[in-house]
This record gives sequence, structure tokens and C-alpha cells, in this order.
Amino acid sequence: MRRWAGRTNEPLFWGLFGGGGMVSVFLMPVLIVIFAFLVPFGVFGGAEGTYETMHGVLTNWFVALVLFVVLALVLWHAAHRFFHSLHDLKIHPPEIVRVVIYGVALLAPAIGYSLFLVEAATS
Amino acid sequence: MTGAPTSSPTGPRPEDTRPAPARTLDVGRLAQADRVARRREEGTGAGDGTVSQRNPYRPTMKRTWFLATKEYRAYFLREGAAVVVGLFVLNLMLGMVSIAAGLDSWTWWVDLQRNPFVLVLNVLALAAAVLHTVSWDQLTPSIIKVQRGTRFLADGWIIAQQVLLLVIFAAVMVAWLGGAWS
Amino acid sequence: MAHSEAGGVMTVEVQRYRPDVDDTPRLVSYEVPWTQDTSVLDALNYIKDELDSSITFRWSCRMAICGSCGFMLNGEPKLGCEQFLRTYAPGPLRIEPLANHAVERDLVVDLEPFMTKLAAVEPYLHPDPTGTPEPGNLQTPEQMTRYGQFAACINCMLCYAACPQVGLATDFLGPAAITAAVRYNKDSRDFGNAQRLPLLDQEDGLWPCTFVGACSTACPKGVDPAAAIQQAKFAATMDWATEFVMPHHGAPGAKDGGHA
Ligand code: SF4
Ligand code: FES
Repeated sequence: MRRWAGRTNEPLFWGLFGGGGMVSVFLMPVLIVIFAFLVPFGVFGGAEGTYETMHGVLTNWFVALVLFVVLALVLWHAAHRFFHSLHDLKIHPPEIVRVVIYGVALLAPAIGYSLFLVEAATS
Repeated sequence: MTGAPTSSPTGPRPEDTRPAPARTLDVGRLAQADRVARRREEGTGAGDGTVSQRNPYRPTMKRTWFLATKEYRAYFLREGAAVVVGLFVLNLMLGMVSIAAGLDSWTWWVDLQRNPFVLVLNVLALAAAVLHTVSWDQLTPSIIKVQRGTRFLADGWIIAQQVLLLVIFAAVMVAWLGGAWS
Repeated sequence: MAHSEAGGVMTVEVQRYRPDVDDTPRLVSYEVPWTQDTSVLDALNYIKDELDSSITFRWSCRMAICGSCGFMLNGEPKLGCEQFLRTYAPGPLRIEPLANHAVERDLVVDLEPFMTKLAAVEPYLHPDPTGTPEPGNLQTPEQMTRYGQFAACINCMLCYAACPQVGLATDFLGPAAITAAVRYNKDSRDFGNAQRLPLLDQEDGLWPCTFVGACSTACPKGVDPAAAIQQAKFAATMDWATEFVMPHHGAPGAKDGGHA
């Protein structure tokens, strides 16, 4: 990796942001409609029914990994926009705030996936 | 054909015997120099050490600039929407862990979505996600350019391809949960 | 067609600033007679000729091609010669210097920062270092289409006045300069991508842009600088990824890589 004055890792940050925005476009409206409204309000039967349908597929470690990575991208997208909005508001926080903001996007999926593996193994 | 040259590029200049003109002090200019020096001291203006009339006025952005025009407001709404969608992603990850933990915790998570507070968040998340989809669809054609000869593929094709993805994904999810494969 | 329905007298408020006297600019109102074909630039010239000869503003071509007469008209960046008073009837019309720029006097802004940024991206053809081009340095219409839109820029700086990120980060390279870089990067006769990359891919280069899109709305020439910037971000990201995977590969910005 060549270095020059002012070169940052922004291409990486922006690339992940773009990926998250891209998948979010067709993923999020559908996921929200289904899991925030259709499933809880019984369109696909009660919780037992959806559990029956999904449990087997979702608890496959690889399927879950892919899902967590995709959700991580969407979260990264949110973190990236949030961080840049601070700049738009003329707030220039110390570096640690930036680490925390993007850190949530990295850690939440990582912790989520770990918990997921633990629960899947013990249930 | 003209008179004797008064100077030549190569020879010495003939001595100027005329009386020196009476010089008056350029008061205005000195006064200006003083002004520039004073501004430099106070740090209020340009002034690079030369005598200059420059004293540019530098407007500053208000912190509330994003309220100024419709375009800026739409932009800021779009940026903020991402954060709301992010909250739902966290919620969804919780759901993933719940379904791995067994039927009881999955039932708990499904019931949680009917909690009024969570419901409000979810409604906001849906609005934010739709806003994201619409705004992203509008912007993508300017990044993805498919050239065909001396023209580019019409924006509509790029948008249609994204909408198609959404429709396919929705159909697959609904079919799956509706029991098409069980 | 000599007779025009619309017309009258409009109040035109012009922001005045005298660097040697004033601390801050102020608005001054003028009453300007107008008809169907009175442009904003005509109105300013009327004020200068008839009402106050000290008013200062730039203009040249009065036909939307020299790029000198950019002003904020009721808060929007526009070319004065391209807009008509009838659009703003019954008034008042507020004319201010381009936003996000230092004001030298009245409606005249400091061009120096923009000129520096524009020159920095080396907006001219860099010849093929490996050989001389064939006579005429030929180009097909298809090759020209790749950058044609971006070559229509007249350097009017309306996009800089429209862009909040220019106002927030004064060192941001900005829409037109980045577009000029992209215009040459996409030119089949140019081999300067590698030289331009360090200017684009740096903190004050591309990255202050958050795709507000206001530059493309403001552009009077349909250049779509926002598109150019996003395409440049994509190309810079591809170059970054290439270098990440193949650190010693070292030919970022090659003509056939990542600059679709
Ligand atoms: S890109 Fe458009 S608005 Fe910007 S300087 Fe060029 S012509 Fe003017
Ligand atoms: S005077 Fe030339 S662009 Fe308006």
C-alpha cells in the first residue's frame, strides 16, 4: 500500500458503506415488513409456525454467518452516515468517537454471531 | 527623420537635466498601508505585507445550513434515516440469536415486536428504509454507467434492475415463510 | 413579438461590500425597470450605468458560456446572464455573491482557491509515456462519449457555491476540479491517472463529498459533477483494493482498470 500526504483508509470505509447501502436497498424494506409486521401479527401463523420453518435453515452456521455479514454491512452503512453527519453539524469529535461509532458496526455483529453460535449449540 | 534620440537601448542614458518634480506624499496610500498593517496585527484581514486594498469578507457556514433549502433538508433526512435502519438491524440480530436459542425465546422476540414502543420504532424504520431505497435508486444511475456506443443505458434500466432484486427477494421470503417448501 | 406583456419596475437588492470601509456586507435596494427580456445581468448593468457606478461585478460573454457572472439569486447559485427578471416577478430579487467564497468587493469573489484546486489536478492530456501517439492522436466517438459530458464545464463555480461540503471544509477539492480530473482520466488519449490519484484519494480530495447532489442541481451546463465524483470514488476504491491485494502491482489508474 503506497502512502502519500493525506491518504486515508477512506476507500475501504466508503467501499463497505456502498456495499451496505446497496444490499440495504432491496433487503431492508422487505425484512422490516416481514419481521416487524407480518410475522408478529400472525400473517404466517404463530411464532411456532415461523419457528418450524426457519429454525432449521437459520441455525446452519454458514447461513447465519452470511446473514450476520450482510447485516453488518447495513450497520456499517448507518455508522458511516452517522459519523459524516457529525461533520455536517460542525461537530468534530476526537478520534475515539469515530472508533466507537464504527466499532459498534463491527462489534455488534461479531458479538451477535458468537451468541448465536453458543445458543445454537446449547438449544 | 526624427530628432536626436534621447535614449538608446545600448548606449548610456543621456543625463536628465530637468528639475526634479515636486513630490507630494501619497497620503491615501500610506494611510491604506497603515490600515493593512493594523488589520494584520488584529488578524482581521488579508494583507500579505504589500500595500493592498484587499480585505476579503469571509462568510461562515451556519450550523443550521441543512435547513436552508429543500435539497439540503432531503439530504439530511436521507442521512438520518440510515441510523434508524441501523437500529432495526440491531433488533434483527437479537431475533437471530433468539431463534437460535429455541422456541421460547423466539416467541419472546416475536411478542416484543408488538410492544408499542418497539412498534413505533419499527414503523419509523420502515419509513426510513423506504426512503433509503428510493433515494439510493435515484442516485445509483449516476454512478453505474453502462455505455452502448455513443450513448449510455437509460437510468430506468439501472433502477428497474434494483427494483427487480427487491421484488424477487420479497417473493422468495413470502413463499418461504408461507410454507412453499415445507 | 416586439411587444411584451410582462414588465414593470422591480426592487433588486444587491449585496454591497467595500473592503476598505465596511466590516460586513449589507444589502442595498435599487428600483430597476424590466421587460420580458431583461436578464439579471442587464439589471446589474442598468444599476451600474444609471444608479450607482461604483457597483462591482464580473461578466463577459452575456451568453452563459464564459462562466464569469455567477451570483446567488434569492439564495440559489445561477448565471446572471442566463436568468431573467421575469422569473422573479414581482420581486424583490436578492443578488448576492457566490456562497462559500471570500468576497473581495460587492459581487466579486476570490477566484484564487478554485484556480489553485483546478490546476492541481493537472487538467490536460498527459501523453503516453511509452511512445508517441499516431498522428492526430485519434479518438473514436465512443471514446469521446466516455467523458464528453464532463468536458462541458465552464468553470463558473456555481457548484462550489451550491456544495455545503465546500463551505464546511475549505480545502475540499470540490466538484468542478474533481470533474476535470475525471474528464481527463476517462480520456483515451490521456495517461495521467496515476499522477492524479494522490490528489483525489486523500482527505481533502474526494472524501469530504457526501453526495448531497446540490452541485449537479446547480450546474448550468448539465455536467453532473456529483456523478463524476462518485465515479472517481469508485475508481479510487478499486485502486485501493488492487494495491491491497497486490501491494507490488503498482499500476493504479491504468487505462483499462477500474475507470469504467
Ligand atoms: S461543473 Fe457545472 S457548475 Fe461546476 S464549474 Fe463546471 S459548469 Fe459550473
Ligand atoms: S456573462 Fe458569461 S456566463 Fe454570464
